[in-house]
Amino acid sequence: MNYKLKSGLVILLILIILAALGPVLAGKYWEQNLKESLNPPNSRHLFGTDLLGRDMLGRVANGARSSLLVGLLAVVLTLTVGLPLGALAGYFGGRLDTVIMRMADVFLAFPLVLGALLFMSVAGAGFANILLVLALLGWPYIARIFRASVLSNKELDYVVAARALGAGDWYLLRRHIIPNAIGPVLIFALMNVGTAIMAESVLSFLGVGLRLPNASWGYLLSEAAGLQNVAPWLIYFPGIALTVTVLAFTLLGEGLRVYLAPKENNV
Amino acid sequence: MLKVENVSQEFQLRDHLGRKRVKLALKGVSLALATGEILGIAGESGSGKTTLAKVILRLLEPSSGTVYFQGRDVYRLSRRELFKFRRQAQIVQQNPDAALDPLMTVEQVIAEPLLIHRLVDKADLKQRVVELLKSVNLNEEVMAGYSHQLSSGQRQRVAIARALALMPQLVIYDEPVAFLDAHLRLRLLKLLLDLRRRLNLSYIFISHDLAVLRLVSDRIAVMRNGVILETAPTEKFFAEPVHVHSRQLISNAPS
Repeated sequence: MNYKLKSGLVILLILIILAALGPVLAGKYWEQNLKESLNPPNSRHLFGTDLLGRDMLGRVANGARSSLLVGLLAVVLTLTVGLPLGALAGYFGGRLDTVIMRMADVFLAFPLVLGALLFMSVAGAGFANILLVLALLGWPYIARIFRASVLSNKELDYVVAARALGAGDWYLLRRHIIPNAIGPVLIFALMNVGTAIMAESVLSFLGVGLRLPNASWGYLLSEAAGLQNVAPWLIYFPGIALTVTVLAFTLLGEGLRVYLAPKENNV
Repeated sequence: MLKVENVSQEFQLRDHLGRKRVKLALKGVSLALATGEILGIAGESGSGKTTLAKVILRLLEPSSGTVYFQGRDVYRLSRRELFKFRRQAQIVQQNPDAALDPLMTVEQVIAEPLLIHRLVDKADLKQRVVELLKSVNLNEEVMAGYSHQLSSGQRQRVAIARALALMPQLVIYDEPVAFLDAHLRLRLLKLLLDLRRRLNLSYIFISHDLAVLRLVSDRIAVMRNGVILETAPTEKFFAEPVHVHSRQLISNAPS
């Protein structure tokens, strides 16, 4: 195991613990207390308090839930759409390939944030809509990579040999091609969790993403906007949490790629 | 048992400017193979040997011409008949390092054809795999390992065991010893000849190495640029080759 994979795993583990236990440990983070409004970090409120006197440690920890959940679910949904379409396009080729990949091109034409902004302002803010738009704009990347991977795998000797043995198309895909082709795309997907979390934050920051009670980091940042001169800690802590999380998934993806890539290593 | 009739195969290529170019990999190839016979196909790389092997096994549809296996047109078989044909004709590929799925254990590799064709009960599966391994002189200890843990020679024998699992009548060997060390070649060739005698198989043996073909073949066909230049019984071929290219090949080969 390399250091990227290790550090990524460690950070992710801390984040998950934070997301799972943080809100419990940090007490009633949702309780407003105007007497404690905008306290800088101190021994009782390690991350300070916000305008309404709520504990920021609790709020940031709680935000980890929304952010991680959105990131992971969005990528799972992206894979659910992208993998089958990519496999079909790559394996069967021909007209099916053309139809699927031109469809992918349409969605690839939208820049992620702009496209998502457009969609969210029409469909309305909310958890389900965020997942939907991230999957809608994310599947073409997965499909493309997987298509290329399947394409290069289907001509390999052992696939040809299996066909000569009498294996049908679905069997070949299921048993030989997909298991051998899925590595690179899963690594890409892992790195995409960070991108999805980032996109969700941007949308929430712009006010078309998650809403209370799902106060994600992006939402916390949007609350902090305008107060940055009075209470910079409102930006620091959600911002750091966001950066570290995206970093963790990037490290994980990178580390896993290096860990899995040289097959020759385990000869 | 096998008749190849006037098979041509063209590939459409595009050059870097996108202009179409047609490459003829096979030009009107015909040949025949009798039951129990070993036909050697000689030729330089790029002469169309592997393409011919794929066409015979219906792994690649020819542009024209057809292949008859036991009197039946291989390209007009129904689904069920094709499935049966797959059992009767097998291939062992050139590169043993690429012929086995890296994610499968040796046991899974050899069990695969048995499971696809439901040839044995689950209970007897392991026993049958061990038998097959033994038939290619492999120890049952290799069964649990993955292909990358084996030597090239062992891998090639696993690939042969996989092909033989279906008890085929025809096996096409596409340069089966090209990737092996010299001392392993002879052993593998002897094994293949031994298997043919025991199982009454027909072989098509593709190689660029005339010394190998001389050792195993009953007849030899020489290919060049997708054309079969001449076909002759092995003795006769080496004694009085007809075509200039054949003479060249013979004089270039180490005796």
